[in-house]
Amino acid sequence: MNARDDKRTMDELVREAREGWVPPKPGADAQDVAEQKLFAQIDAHEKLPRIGSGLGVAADRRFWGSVAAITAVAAAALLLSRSSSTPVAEIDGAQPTAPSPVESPRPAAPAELASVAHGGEVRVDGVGVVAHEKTLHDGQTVEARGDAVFTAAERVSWLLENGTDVGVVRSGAHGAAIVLALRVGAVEAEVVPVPGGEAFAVDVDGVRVAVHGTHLRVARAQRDGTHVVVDLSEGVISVGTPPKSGSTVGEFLINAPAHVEFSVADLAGTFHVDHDAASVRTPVDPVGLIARQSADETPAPPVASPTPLAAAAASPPPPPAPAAMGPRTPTAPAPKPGPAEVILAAVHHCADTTLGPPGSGALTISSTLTVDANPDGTTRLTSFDPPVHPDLQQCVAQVAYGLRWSEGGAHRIPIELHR
Amino acid sequence: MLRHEGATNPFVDALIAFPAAALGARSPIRMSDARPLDEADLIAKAAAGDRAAFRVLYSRHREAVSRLVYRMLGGTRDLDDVVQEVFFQVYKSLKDFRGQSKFSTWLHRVTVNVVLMHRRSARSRPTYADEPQADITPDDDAVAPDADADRRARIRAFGRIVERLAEKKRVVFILHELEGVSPAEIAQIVGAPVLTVRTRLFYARREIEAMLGDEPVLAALRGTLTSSDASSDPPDGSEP
Repeated sequence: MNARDDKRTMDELVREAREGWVPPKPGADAQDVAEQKLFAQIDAHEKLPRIGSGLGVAADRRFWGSVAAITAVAAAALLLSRSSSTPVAEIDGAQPTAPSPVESPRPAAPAELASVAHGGEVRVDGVGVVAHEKTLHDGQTVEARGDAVFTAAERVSWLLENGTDVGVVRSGAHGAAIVLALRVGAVEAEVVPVPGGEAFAVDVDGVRVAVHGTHLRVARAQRDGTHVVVDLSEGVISVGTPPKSGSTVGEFLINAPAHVEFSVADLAGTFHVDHDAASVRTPVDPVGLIARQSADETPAPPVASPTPLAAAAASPPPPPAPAAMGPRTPTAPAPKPGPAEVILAAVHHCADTTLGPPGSGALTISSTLTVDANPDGTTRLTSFDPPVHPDLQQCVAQVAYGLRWSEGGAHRIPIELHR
Repeated sequence: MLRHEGATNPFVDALIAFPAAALGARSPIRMSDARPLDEADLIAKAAAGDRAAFRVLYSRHREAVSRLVYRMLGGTRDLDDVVQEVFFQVYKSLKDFRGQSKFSTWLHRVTVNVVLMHRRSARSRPTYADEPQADITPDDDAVAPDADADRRARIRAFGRIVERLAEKKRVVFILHELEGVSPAEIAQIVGAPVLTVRTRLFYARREIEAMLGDEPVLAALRGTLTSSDASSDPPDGSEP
């Protein structure tokens, strides 16, 4: 053996590896699933970019700040045009909502009991626990005798409804996904999307409902029953077999709004989805519930704001949440600006921020923005005809991609701006 | 620019007009960096939030990214998740791509960074007793023809050896020897001087050559090549 032999061997091996050391060719279905998951992750990121770091946070903050300003302008315009006496507080609920950006992301903390309904009790491994004094660990069992809210800082807040029993499969330590095994009752969660894809999941007898963001409720119809009901009011979930590691490769990837029912005994054969928003159970804000439960207690202990959502929920006063259990009546719909009105306001706002404020020079924009919406109402494509300044296009498009339209297809919005 | 579902979409048309085989025809190994269609335009549109343009970029580069991730991970475990994360990072960072380097170079850089982050986080992640160990390559000899079995065994052994390299040397070795990236581009990707890249390559090759004897199938290949040399050499020992 000599150096020349080694080199020849190496060259031959490299040649073989170039051709043969490649991943197995995925099937068309697998490619579709992968693509769906990627774009679901992007959707979730764009809807609620609440966490991040460095420049990303700054950019997200600017973006959501813009959306908030635009929404407010549009809401004000709508109010004036309709001469409505609707309180401003209701208009603040207009979509798209602008989440509070994280000022400085804290290290991921394990989940802990944040609040329990007055007179209720939470038992962990059979022992009664007190709010803020119990963090969860893998393998524990949790019984909620009264509505109980748990939080994992800046990531997930979830409500265990009265009478719910769960096992803690993974407690979310070190920033990992939180996984609960639902034995009886219902779990309702508000989940901040994470770059890794899944922040929270609920297992029901070998079927995993994994949450990409942002709001869902999973309930078992009865003790030891196989029937499961999922209400997804925001975001995306995947439903499938729990993986050994990584994200759930769901047999089903579901976008909100969705009311899902299936039997764990025959997932594929019984899976049913209804995307009618009217069929989706009215969501409960777990963090809002903390504020209400805390207000019920006397004397009221100081309630830490475990998540940015908590701060948002605590001030201004949260809207009254429907009862956690039992039939829920939809809240009265608040008048809110339509997507077209939001976009028109966005044009003015974006023109100010990208092309200069009024008074900085004459400006005339005459164009038509066409928004192509997917069947579910999300924005698929935007285009200006004729094109306008790229920065303005980008600014308006960012807003448009966060909107939901009442129906799919093309929506044309004439843009006229003179100043 | 706007297209309805079912109507003509220029980006979809572009995919049809330039199928993957044609796009990859210039080099079956490297991530493509000179597409016949206006990639710069696609990048600009995608950076501006155009989903259709991003979808085309994704379709074009998915296979190449998947291959690089697979080689860097040393198997299929977490492959889909990491590839998804690469494109998610691309989507988020595309607006920061200034075109100062080739898109393929930038994409390599994103991919390498995501894989390295993943490997580091995986090292600190607790493993479960029933969790399968990393699969260097899928063992599908059972269905492979005999003629192919030896080659697959060699590739698996080669993968195991590459996996034993230190991280920095493994990255440059894979990028250069398997992906066909030039040392100058690798220098941009890993943020090191070209000379350092060449040094890492030199030592990576030397270490792999030294490890060939650890894998019987690779040692056998070396023996085969040597004996075929000997049999083809002229009797007088002069160079052919």
